[in-house]
Amino acid sequence: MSNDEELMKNYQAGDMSSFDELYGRYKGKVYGFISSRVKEHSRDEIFQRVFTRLHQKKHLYKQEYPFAPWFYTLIRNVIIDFYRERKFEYIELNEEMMWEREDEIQEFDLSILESLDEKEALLLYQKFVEGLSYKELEDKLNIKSATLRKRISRLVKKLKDNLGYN
Amino acid sequence: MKDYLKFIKSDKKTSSDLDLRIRENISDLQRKDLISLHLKIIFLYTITGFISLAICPQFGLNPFNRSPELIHMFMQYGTWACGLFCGSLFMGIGALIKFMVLGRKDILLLSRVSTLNITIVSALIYGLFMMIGNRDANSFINFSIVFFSFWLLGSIIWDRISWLILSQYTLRSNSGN
Repeated sequence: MSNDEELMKNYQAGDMSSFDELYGRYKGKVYGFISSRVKEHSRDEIFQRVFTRLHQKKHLYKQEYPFAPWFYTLIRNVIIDFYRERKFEYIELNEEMMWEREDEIQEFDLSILESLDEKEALLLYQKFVEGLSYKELEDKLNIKSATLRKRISRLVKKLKDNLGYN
Repeated sequence: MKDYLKFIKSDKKTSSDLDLRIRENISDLQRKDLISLHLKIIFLYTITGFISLAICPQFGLNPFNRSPELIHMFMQYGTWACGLFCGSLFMGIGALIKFMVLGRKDILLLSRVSTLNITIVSALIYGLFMMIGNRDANSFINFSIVFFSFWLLGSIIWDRISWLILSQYTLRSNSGN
């Protein structure tokens, strides 16, 4: 039985049976992962986007690296891009914004963000919409991750208080 | 890392309807990729055919006003030799242009494009140029089965040789496109 890396190599060359095999191996993982991050009504759309993006970007994969982590990064980027689009859509059309943190969905008026200063709003955006890890934020902002954790936790509590959740 | 492990451990059933949609969508994209690739190849080979006339005025065309000495030299050995040389020249130039112009995505797809496909495309280009060229009463090459057969053979051999040499270099150096 071919490993994932060999299947990807064949798929890059246009072998559709290799795609079918890869799809069969990963569809459960992909759908399960998407389900833990996205509301039900958007899951199928994102699932389709993942495999469309896989097809469009398959030539970028290099066989010397393991396939699963590369694919995981691709899926994450699809989800981030999806939420980036939705954020702008909501601001323009509904004047509301959707945030997702783990399995929790929170809705709040855009005016709530006005209670935060620009840096605070940007920090939340980078963490929850762009999906940067604490390590990545630490490197980017030159602030220790422990400090960032405290700040983000305080900001989320502040927003919840403003919404009356606490 | 936790997130990645979550992904690896995930397992949720998809509907058969969704599976079918995905497969159809990907097959459709694949079909479009192959059509696009073949159109690019035809275009590149047409340019190649024209450029090869600067060296060897084959197909009964001589837009660069080249001397027919080279053809006469090969014709001394026979029509087959001339056909083999002209076909090799055509594909040699074509291969260089192909690897300079096409991106990684297309080159990866090319690895599975069969010899039959290359033969058909080469024959089409040959036919196209001969149709244009044979309108000229002063043709340097008369169409013959022998010439055409060895022209095709030369182009196929050079296609495979150039693929072996150039694809490795291009795939290593061209990280994305």
